[in-house]
Amino acid sequence: MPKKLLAALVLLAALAVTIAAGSALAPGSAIRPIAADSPCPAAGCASGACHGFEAVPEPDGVHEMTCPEAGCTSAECHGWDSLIGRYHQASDASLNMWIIMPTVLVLALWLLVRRSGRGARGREGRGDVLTSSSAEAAPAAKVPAAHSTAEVSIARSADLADADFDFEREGA
Amino acid sequence: MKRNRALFDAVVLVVYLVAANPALTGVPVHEFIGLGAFVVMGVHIVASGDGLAGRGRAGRLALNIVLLVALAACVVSGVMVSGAALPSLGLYATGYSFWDPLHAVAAKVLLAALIVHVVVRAPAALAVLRRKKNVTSSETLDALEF
Repeated sequence: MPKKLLAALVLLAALAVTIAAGSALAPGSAIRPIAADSPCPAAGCASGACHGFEAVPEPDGVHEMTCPEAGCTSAECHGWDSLIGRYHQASDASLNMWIIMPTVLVLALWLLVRRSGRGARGREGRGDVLTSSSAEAAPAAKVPAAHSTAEVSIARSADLADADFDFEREGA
Repeated sequence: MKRNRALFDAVVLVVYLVAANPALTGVPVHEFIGLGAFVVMGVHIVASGDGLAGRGRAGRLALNIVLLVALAACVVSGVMVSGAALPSLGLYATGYSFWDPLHAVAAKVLLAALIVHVVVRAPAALAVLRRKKNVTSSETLDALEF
């Protein structure tokens, strides 16, 4: 229990440190209530008639944007590009997909190979398939208990014969 | 690790994967699912408190620190660039030009570290699920025999 409490405190401390570091690196950043004269967080537009996030307007030559880095204000500001092409859009999704999709693909292939291998071993254990691999992967324990000792011996002999045959064929 | 814990961790992973793909859900849904993912990940972290550190686990400790820092940075920066969750409370945040790149970088680091975390921990979780299943089967057989 003390370790769980410690983990919770560490998590809260990490959040607090992140907020403090962010506030120190970007002194102007803060959470404020939305008012009529609140500027657009992305482009600094403060026309007093906010378009909302779902209806971003086209550049109209009237509304001015304030550059968040240089502080200049212009109707032709590149802030329009930020507002139209970047703000409130999942611009980094492609990279996430490029990481997640190969991972999912590799895991799916691994599971597929693992499952098919297990299925083959299961068939060998039932005596459906007798291959060279059964001599290594299907010991006597996998032979059904109902088989007699003689049957087990025959199955092992067949396995070993197949193994020898495969060995000779590979060697040739 | 118990079976219920392993199942809960799988749910946490699924919620995170949904939250990590805003292109699939849309940004407003992404914001709320992201907050939910943070909550369940917080529960996961607290529940895993006993195994966070210890002797001979330097690598795991380093990975957990990276995960913790990336998660904190991702959540805080995500709130600060929120365009749906914060306004739903009548709030907005300034400093978008600082927090937005930080959110993108933190999300990538979190994703990479989580993949490592899952690869490291998945065998143990799968073993627990499999063992419990086998134990349940043998218990059932015992009960049938008697």
